[in-house]
Amino acid sequence: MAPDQSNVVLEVQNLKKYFPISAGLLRREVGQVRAVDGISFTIPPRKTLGLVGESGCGKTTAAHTIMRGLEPTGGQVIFHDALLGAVDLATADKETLFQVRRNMQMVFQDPQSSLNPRMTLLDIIGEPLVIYKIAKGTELIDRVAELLKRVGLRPEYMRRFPHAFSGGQRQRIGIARALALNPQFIVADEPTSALDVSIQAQTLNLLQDLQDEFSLSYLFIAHDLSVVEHISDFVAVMYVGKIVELADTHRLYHSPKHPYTEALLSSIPRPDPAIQQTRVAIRGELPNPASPPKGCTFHPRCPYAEAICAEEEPALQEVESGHVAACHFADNLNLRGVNEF
Amino acid sequence: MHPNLLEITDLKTHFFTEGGVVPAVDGVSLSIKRGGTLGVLGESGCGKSVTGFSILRLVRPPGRIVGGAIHYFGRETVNGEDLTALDARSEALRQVRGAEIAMIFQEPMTSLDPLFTVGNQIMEAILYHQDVSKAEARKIAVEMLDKVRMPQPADVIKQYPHQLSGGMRQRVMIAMALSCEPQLLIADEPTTALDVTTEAQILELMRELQDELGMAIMFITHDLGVIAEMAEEVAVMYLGKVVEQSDIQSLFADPQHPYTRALMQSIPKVGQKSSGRLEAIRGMVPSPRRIPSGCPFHPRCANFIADLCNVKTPQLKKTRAGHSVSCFLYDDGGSSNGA
Amino acid sequence: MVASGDAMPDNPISPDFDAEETEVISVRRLMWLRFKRNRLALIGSAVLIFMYLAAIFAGFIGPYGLRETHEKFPASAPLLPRFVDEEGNFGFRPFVYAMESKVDPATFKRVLTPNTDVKHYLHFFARGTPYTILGVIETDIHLFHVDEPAKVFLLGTDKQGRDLFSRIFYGAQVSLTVGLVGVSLSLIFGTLIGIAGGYFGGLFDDASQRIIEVLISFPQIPLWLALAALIPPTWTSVQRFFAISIVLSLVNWGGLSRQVRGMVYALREEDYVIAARYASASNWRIITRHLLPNTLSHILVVATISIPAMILGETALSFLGLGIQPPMTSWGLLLNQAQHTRVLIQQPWLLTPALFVVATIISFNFLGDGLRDAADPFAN
Repeated sequence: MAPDQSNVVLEVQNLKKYFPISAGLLRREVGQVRAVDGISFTIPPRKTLGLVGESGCGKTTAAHTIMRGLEPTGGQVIFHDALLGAVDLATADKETLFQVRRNMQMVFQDPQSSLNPRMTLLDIIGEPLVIYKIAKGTELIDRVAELLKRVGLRPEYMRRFPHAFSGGQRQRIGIARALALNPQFIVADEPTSALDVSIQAQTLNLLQDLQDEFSLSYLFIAHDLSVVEHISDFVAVMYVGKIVELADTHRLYHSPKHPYTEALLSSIPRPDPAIQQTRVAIRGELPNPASPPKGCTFHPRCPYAEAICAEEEPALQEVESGHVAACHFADNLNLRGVNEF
Repeated sequence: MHPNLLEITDLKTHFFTEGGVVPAVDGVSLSIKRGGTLGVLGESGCGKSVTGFSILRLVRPPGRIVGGAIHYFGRETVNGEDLTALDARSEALRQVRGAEIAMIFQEPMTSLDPLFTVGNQIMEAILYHQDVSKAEARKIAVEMLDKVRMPQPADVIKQYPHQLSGGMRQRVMIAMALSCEPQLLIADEPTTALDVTTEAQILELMRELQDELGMAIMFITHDLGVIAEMAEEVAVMYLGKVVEQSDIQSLFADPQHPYTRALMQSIPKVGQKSSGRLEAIRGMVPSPRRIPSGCPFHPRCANFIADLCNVKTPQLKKTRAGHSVSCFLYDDGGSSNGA
Repeated sequence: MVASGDAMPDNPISPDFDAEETEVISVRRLMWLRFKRNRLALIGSAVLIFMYLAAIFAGFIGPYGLRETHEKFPASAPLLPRFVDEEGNFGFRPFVYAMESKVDPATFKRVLTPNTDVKHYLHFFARGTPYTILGVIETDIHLFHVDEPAKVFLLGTDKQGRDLFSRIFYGAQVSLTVGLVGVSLSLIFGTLIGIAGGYFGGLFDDASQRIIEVLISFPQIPLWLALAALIPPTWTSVQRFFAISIVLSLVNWGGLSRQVRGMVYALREEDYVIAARYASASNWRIITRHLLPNTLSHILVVATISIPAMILGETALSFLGLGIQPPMTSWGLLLNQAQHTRVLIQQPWLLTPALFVVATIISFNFLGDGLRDAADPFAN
């Protein structure tokens, strides 16, 4: 039980999650949706990995598979627990999962459905503490009060129900619940996308402050590229179940190596009327994940596609040190960064 | 012809709920130029959508237009027709809705009937307003789908809404809205539910169609990026009031109302990553049932002036050509002294 | 005059910004506010409260006992209290004339004629036939009573000369509780199976769903009849009463179970349930703390709405002679006497129990509607 000294908190290796498609009276399996199809990344301590992609790309499924809310179809999720050392969550037994979940928690997207309407804030935030028998009675109340204060809510609200709070406040309650067990690692699934613009900044600041204060690592999932750039140290871009590019934030935004990343960056509506955007023409829409195109999944929409792209699936290769992209022409294309449109 | 297509003066739309009166729109004045684009920017609850619904007289009880006028200077009327004065079931209003002014929404699935094919629904809209045969209506429907860059429009008209993706559905909604060549299109957060690449496609489509058809657009959104891309004129709304109104260049170059400024500072700007914190606006939008006294923004304002902002309500005043703001910082008619 | 930005607290998430904004209303209170808005539901609950109180205090409301026969008055028309006497004098005290049974010398039929010499005033809260309330409190105080030989039959008598008015409230004791007992049984059964199926899924879920499908595709009345016919005739009335409740709930639990399963199935994907799972909450904890509290109000609505079917079921079974057996009585059994057209024409008052059935069923439906609105206090 030596404390883990490694420089990684989470190591995801070739993680897969397939959902069966069944049809007919007998529910025979007729195919699979490869929602997450072999993704790999690592998250160092106190760092944030941003996971971006459009709806249906599998980023939320990936989050729940990492949390082991969904059973992985394959791959490894190695969590470097402060007490237990390296644990493969994909195969961990119940007892190990119980131990590890103290150290990894989740913040959800929808502040409406993430809080039980029949429980008071005390019950909601205190539940993990009760389950892990960390606190009860007045000690529990004190701990919940402290957590509420930390996320910017008055401790007197403890006995109120979630419906009395606004979306931004509810998101704080959800963050307080995730913090209750003092975890090392938090998965935040679109934590600001249901919030108003003026509330979004408060929530992002709170997440950053908490990261510093509690030495947290984040897996930050979002579709808003501006938010992801702001909060992340590294960014992974997902497309139809796969990571197509991964790099540190600055390199990914300023010298992308995958045409899909370039297309995403060029699509961002910029809050500056002076910028005359020359968009990368990207055709069509996301393919059906149940029957993705052959070869590179992006080739039907890619402005740079050539014959090989429809035939061969490109492997994720290192273009520069710490910068990987899955494109046959990653070395040759001269793609534009976010400020070059 | 009148230079403006639509002029809203001192519009008040209130909701009479059990918990009290909610002044969702409280004295809004706006004008939309012929063929121009007015952006209405605001967060949830600011009354931007209710303003759109009020124009089409689609506000449902317990909501009611309680004051003001909406003058529409359509094809024939020179002096303008006050839409608020029309009878809710009149033929005149029916003609305005759909044929003169059309609307598209955030979630196209809720405005499309899942039981009818896409073609059926577009044709219905055409037959309602135009004196054409069914076969002609079908032809127009295919043409419209083609116009919104729908691939294989002849096949799409036989499909049901659930068979289409979100972006395709929004294209169908636009096709339906434009089928009668309206003078004004009210677009209420039309891309909010869409992914970023699809959003870019739809925004581009709307701009192209505007050039082609010459219609005016009222673009309602909370997204500063989208507004910068779409609008020529912008009205910033907060708690039922217009707090700043300007042409787009001036608004982004020199935002004057503390709310507008704070909003612009609070969003992360892509491509300009800094390691620091964002400049958040403190507090939250108050409940519309309990609107603060004086300037509605004063409890959150960084430039709050005690005994003034919480007592008196500022009026929208012109600070330079084409730029007005309702804030006491600009009361002397001069430039900003609080920044 | 101009306050600079620095005057504001540095921390934008300082806890003082939303002080007076939030309201402290529990979900339960919200539900009550919503329920109160539905006037029909309020009327329905008032009627039901009256009905159940009347059933509990049946002995007090009715002037005569359940089995008390009046040999001289078989199949008598209602004998109502009057305020105006033979001479046309009006008085505020209600009274009756004693009836004398005589043989008509011409037709040789027995006819009842009032003896107008003596006025028998109604006594309120007076002593009469002894009875017990809820089987424990023994008393003989009645709401109203008239001294012998006068009689008061507000709704007439049956062919054995028993006062229908009194018997309707005794019948209510059975008819109104058979639904409650039956619903409680199907509530327990249906909720357990529904939650287990909805939450755990798998083979158990499939099997229970198929059984329910078979159960609810049977025509109800024949199924009831068949099951009721299995009850041994030697059982006592109390045993029979519970047997009938079980029969009714056996047919009824399936629908309830399906609804519970559907709700649980939807709720288990809610983020707060997933959050609880990620906090290592046990299944027991998730079911009791998260799923049950959020389905309970809906379950109660479904239960309320299925009570009328049970009451009608009991009425139907008893009407057909397969339900409650004498000496116990129920509304169905009371109606059993009114099966023939001939009887109905001569003694239409025998139909009055049907009015009570109808009023109860409608009230339960109103109440159910009101509860359904209240169960979802956040809907607009």
